[in-house]
Amino acid sequence: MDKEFINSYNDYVDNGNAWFNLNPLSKLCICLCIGLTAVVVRRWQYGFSLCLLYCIAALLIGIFPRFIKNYFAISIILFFLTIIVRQFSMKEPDFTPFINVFGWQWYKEPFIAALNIVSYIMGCSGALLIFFQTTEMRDIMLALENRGVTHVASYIMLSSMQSVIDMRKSAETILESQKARGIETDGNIMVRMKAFFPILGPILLSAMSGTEEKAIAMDARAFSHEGGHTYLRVLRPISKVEYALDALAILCLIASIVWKVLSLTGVL
Amino acid sequence: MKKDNKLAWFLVPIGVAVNFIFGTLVLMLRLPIYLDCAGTIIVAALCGTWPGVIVGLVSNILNAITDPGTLLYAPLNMAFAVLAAYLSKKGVFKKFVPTLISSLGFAFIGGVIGALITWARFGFDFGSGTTSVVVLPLYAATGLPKFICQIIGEFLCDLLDKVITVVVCYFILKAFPTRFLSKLPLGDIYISDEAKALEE
Amino acid sequence: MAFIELKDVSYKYPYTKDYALQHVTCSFEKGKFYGIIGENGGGKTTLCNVIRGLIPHFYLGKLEGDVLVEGKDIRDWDTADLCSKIGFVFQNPFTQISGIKPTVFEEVAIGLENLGVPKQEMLERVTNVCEQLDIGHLIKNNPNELSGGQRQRVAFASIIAMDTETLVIDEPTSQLDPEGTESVFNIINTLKHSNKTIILVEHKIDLIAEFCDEVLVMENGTVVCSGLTKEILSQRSLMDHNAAIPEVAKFGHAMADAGKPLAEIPVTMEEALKLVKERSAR
Repeated sequence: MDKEFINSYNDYVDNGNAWFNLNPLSKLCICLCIGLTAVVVRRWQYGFSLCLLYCIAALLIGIFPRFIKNYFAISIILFFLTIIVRQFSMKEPDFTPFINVFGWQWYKEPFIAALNIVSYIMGCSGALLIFFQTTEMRDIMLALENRGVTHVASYIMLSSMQSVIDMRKSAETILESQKARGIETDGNIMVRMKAFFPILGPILLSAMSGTEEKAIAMDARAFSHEGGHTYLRVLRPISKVEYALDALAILCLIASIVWKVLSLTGVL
Repeated sequence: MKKDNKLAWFLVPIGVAVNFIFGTLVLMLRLPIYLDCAGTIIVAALCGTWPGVIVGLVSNILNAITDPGTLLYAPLNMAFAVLAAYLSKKGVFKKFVPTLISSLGFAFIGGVIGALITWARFGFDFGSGTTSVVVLPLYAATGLPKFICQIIGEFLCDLLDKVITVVVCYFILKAFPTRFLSKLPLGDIYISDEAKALEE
Repeated sequence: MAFIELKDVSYKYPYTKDYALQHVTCSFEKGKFYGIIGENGGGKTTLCNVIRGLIPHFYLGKLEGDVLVEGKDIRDWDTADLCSKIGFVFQNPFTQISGIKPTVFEEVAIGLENLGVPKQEMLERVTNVCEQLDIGHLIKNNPNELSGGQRQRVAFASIIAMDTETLVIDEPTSQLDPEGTESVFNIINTLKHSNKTIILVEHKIDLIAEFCDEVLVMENGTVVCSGLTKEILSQRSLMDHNAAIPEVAKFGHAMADAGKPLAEIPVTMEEALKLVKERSAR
């Protein structure tokens, strides 16, 4: 047996580098506060600077390829569609002509408005994306359990993730076998509609009958035992540095709010 | 004897998986619907408001892992659960025609709450999503206030989806075995009269 | 003293017509190995559910008569306390994996985490169980990607790790391939020597004959006969109750029919060999 592996449970959970090892809740606090500053500020200069910052951060943390791929995928349509929609939805006679795209006159004000919107959405979702890409769900749930959240919550969250994987697998199997049996899954919409229902039935019924046995099995594993849980995996206690980082992030958020209030009231 | 609600919590992950898988299946079969709240409605109809709400919330959190923006739309999915549990208690999902009509309710929630969230998210102006295909021409043609256009647009886009969703849910709820239903908080509603007669 | 006692127990599942158990009276003593056999739908699993407290705590329906665990009525037991007294392993290897742990080692520890066992003790117990059940090479694997037989062994491990006095095992091999079945038999063999009370439902009659101290035969929701393994399994009348008897017992009866009886009816291969040798030596 792998003694080294067993002994690794004696140490705190180690996920790699310092960022990965931050307490999940501290990390969430940092990411959320930074992301929210973008929502508060709503200036494209700030929003896009944050985006650039996230890319650099991703590079340093070592998740750049995965991050940029995901970030790009959720931003690209948003970016162009918002710019186009704003050209239609904002119309005032005194708008400044901006550029002419193949005979279609764009105006500056709607364009800037669109950039502000896109940049704040990207500025916020980028931070959360970094959080989710560097934090395992089971660590988040473990951190929450340490804060007194019930283990049922952890079960629901983690089991949901596994159920999605399991059910996707069985959906694919059934879809393949439907095709093999000559049931058409291509063709016009009615044909595809008809293919849809025979796949649903077996997937659902097997999943449902499984829940009953799962409940019994978990019950046998003392799932309903109240109080006094212990954990095989133990998260590093939150360090002073982490508290300081959290405080800093919260300060940033407060500063952005103050700036916003001042600029709205015309003081700045 | 009092019902043990334990089983309801074990159904939540299945509800979440149904939300995801139906969504994936309709993509694979290239059907023009989402069907991404069927699990929420089924669990809410069988287990009541809270389990349904949690299915909605968890589904959106899991979506947020790859697209954090979807977290904003969690209230939508949770509101579907509240409505589904209410309608279920009223026995709406037991008959086909009332079920069909209930899709108006779901589309209305989808329209109003969806529009509100989109509205706030996009700086109190039109959102940029598939609905803008309907909303922009509507605005250009009628000149109605933008927010009204957004609501109507989201409602229309949602209606077809919700009609199919409730029909799917109707047949699924009908297919559950009595043995299983008897253990769920609202399961008794869906147990056939013949089975109930055996208890007397 | 009897650890588990059933007195005139009848049970009907909700929304069904017939009683699944009818006037069952039996008792299980500490440290003994019990086998339950009989036709499908004869009430074996329902009996397990009663012993395990799933009836009446999980399944509703009508429970009549008295079920006592350690002298205390099953209705008064808290399900959470009961699970640290009686372990339970059943047929489906797929639903017995929690689905929330990414390694076999953590999966096996799940019951101990829930019970609040201190970490050092938990590490020791899990390590020992994994070694004992020969799943040491799997501890780093994802339990959700194992084969049925491997999953069943992991399921056994996570229950055995909880170290309950009693184990209820309901047809553990019915969904496994021959290889998986073999490994589960090895586990049951290990358990035989562990001084635990074991209640095993199994169709493979040779296994029952080899391991069990006592046997209960069920038909139509009643216990039609029970007693020492050798006495029960050597009865030819068992087949009238739709229960199988060991091949060697059939052989013994056939010898008697042919006018060349063995000293007694054998129920295990070992016994049969001995008896045949004795007979030919005569």
